[in-house]
Amino acid sequence: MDFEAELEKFQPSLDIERAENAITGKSIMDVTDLIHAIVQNTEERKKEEIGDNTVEWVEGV
Amino acid sequence: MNCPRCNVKVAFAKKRCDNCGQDLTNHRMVISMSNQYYNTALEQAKVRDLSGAIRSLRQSLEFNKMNTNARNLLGLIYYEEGEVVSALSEWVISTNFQTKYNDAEGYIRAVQENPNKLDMYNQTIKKYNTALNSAKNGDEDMAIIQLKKVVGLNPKFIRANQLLALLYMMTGRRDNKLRAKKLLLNIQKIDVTNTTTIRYLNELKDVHVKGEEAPKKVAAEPPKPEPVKTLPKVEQDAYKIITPYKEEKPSVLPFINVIVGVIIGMALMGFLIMPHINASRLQKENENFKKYSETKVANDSDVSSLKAQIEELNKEKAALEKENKELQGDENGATMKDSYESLLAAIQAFENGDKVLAAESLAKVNEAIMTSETAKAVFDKIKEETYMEMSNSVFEQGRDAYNGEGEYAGKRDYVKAVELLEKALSYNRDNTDAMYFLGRCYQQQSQMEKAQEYYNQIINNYPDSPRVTEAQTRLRELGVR
Repeated sequence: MDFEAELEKFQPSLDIERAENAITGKSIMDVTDLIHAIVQNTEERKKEEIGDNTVEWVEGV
Repeated sequence: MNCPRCNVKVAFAKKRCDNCGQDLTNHRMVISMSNQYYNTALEQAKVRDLSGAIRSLRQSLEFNKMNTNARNLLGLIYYEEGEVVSALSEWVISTNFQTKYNDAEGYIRAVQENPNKLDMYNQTIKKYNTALNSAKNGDEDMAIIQLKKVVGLNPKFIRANQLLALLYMMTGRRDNKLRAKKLLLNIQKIDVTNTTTIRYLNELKDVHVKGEEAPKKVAAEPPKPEPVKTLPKVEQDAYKIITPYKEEKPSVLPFINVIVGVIIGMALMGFLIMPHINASRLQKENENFKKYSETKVANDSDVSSLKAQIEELNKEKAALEKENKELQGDENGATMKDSYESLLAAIQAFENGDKVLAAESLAKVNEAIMTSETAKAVFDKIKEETYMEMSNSVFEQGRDAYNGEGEYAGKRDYVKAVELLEKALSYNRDNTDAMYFLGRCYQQQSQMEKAQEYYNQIINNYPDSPRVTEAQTRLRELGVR
């Protein structure tokens, strides 16, 4: 066994002084957020597409 | 279930949001996946596969961060593994997502009710971090000391136990390997599938703890649970019994027991043994004093009897000395025997009519040592009859010596005359003739003071003596009267 490598695997444990930062500073993301972002992105793209068509139509006039 | 687009509550069975018309098929699948992972984690936690449960719960939360049941269970598992602050963090986040009817509030309250215990857990975490830092910087001994304290205070702290076991293993000593194995076996009871623990235990295969069971073959991998087709309803209190909080009692009890035992022992000694020892000592001292008193009384009696003996012996000695003195005689050397012989000679001479010889013999008698009254009477009678005549006879010889007549014709000898006259005076102290001629002898020898003394003795003591006139005449010659 490579003891040094094993030792490096150990990470410090969270204590109370750093707990607040860990809680408030953590950006919690999940798949739902991703889906929501995808949905929003899709809607924006649709809007953009509609907007482009309108401009083209005006120019055509 | 809430709509991801408008956040309006929608029934789980609906495929489209009634409010905004959002397609909910994908969202419903995501929520289902999260719940499935939660269910898996719950089953794993029930059999103490805590590492597996943590993995499942993290995946569950990756699908749905607002799955508070999964987050609360994750916090409980962290708490069970000694990571108290991590557990609190999860519960705080959980309450943030679900403010009402959330079990996390109860967990947080339970931990905060005992601030001392919370502080103690925090201290153990800090010490673990310090020890980890020391170990990474090559100070393994310091790290071991710190971790021993941490494990003593929080025996369920998995990571601390693993690190301590690793440091023990790094020393290479057999006793330390044994300690490491004991630690690992203990934490394996908390988390049975922790891969780190299993790897370390595998390294320590050759070390056998007392009472350890024979190594078993690795059990076959449990079959994967059948995927749940529908969303089961999770019981609210299902996971609460998985990781009940148990306070580890500090290991000071044996020490207290030892102290109590010592105190009881001392009390027993003080109340039971010491009085017996004191009583024995007093009894011995009393016996010694009794013996001493008896000896002293006996000695006093002996001293008294010895004193009486000494007194008797002194009396005997005095009697013997007196007897000896009587036998040895006085300063003249006249013993009792000599005195009686002289007395017999005096009697014989007296009977023969030789008064001078009788007086001479009688003069040798020591009158003081004669005890017989008869002998004393005979002595006095012969003395009375012979001494006067003896005195006159010796006086005549002295006078002849003074005048140069008789035996001393033609040669005056004053010295002899003095000798004879003093002898005459010794037989008769009232012989004034002897006194007068002694005065004359001394006058002739020009010893005027002595002559004057004898003349005055006649004049003063014997005024009726015929020698008084002559003595006065001689004093006038000397120029005294």
